[in-house]
Amino acid sequence: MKQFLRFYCWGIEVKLYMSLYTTALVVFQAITEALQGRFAVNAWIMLEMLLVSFVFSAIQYAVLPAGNWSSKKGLAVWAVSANVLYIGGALVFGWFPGVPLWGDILLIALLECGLAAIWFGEQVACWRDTRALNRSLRKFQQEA
Amino acid sequence: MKITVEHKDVPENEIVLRCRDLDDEMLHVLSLLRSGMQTICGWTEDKQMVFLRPGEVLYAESIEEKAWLYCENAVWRTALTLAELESRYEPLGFCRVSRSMVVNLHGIRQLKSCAGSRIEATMRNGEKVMISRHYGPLLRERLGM
Repeated sequence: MKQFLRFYCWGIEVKLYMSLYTTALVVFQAITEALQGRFAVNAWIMLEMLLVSFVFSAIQYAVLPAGNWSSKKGLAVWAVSANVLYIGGALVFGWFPGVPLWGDILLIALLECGLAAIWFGEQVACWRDTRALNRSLRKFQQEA
Repeated sequence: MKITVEHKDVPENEIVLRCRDLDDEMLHVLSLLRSGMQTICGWTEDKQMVFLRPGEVLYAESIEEKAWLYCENAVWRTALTLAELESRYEPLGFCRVSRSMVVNLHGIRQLKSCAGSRIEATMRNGEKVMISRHYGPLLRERLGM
């Protein structure tokens, strides 16, 4: 039962991030298709994106356990995995057909910005929470 | 409430509370007096015994079913369980932060929020204690957040 619950918690966390990353990929794929006058997204491509996002989310769960973003080694593995899996996935599966070179560069830049935004968001959230925690702690200690 | 301090040549210090009935104010005074007089018995491996004021304890940890009290510069063994420490000294700031640890909130120098809803507490003696994701919300509740 304990093993099952651990697996269930792992599934919830991995699927949450998998959904987030897949949605972002599908949105960018839809935009590139729409810009080329095609208004449909290939179902196979969506499944490939889902699969790659699942692998990446599982790696994220393994290297940044419980969302511990303070691990520099974990963060490095996470960033490298994202680049390898998503750039590799786009090249191998041809996710963005017909996109010119400058478009590819823009998509890579967006990927890097997205990764940086995720990391920065975690840092800012922790910093704000730390301030609130210490303010409440001081209040508690003074009131007693 | 009238407070009178009498200086007399008495064999033992004495506190007398005079009231019509025990209202909230008097109960608060009583609890403060009782908590001030409370001590936790601790001892070392060589059976050296000490009576600690709860405020001296920074945190308590259970290791292999034995509870240990961590003060600024010393560690003492106690007969109390973590559950007993938590329930008896909760009004004095004792708070459960993991399955094996109870922390005195007055012994924390600072807190740091970590990703994954965990909280790192730096104690007065510089030691760091990790508050698990499960107990984080309880700590926040104690701090009135």
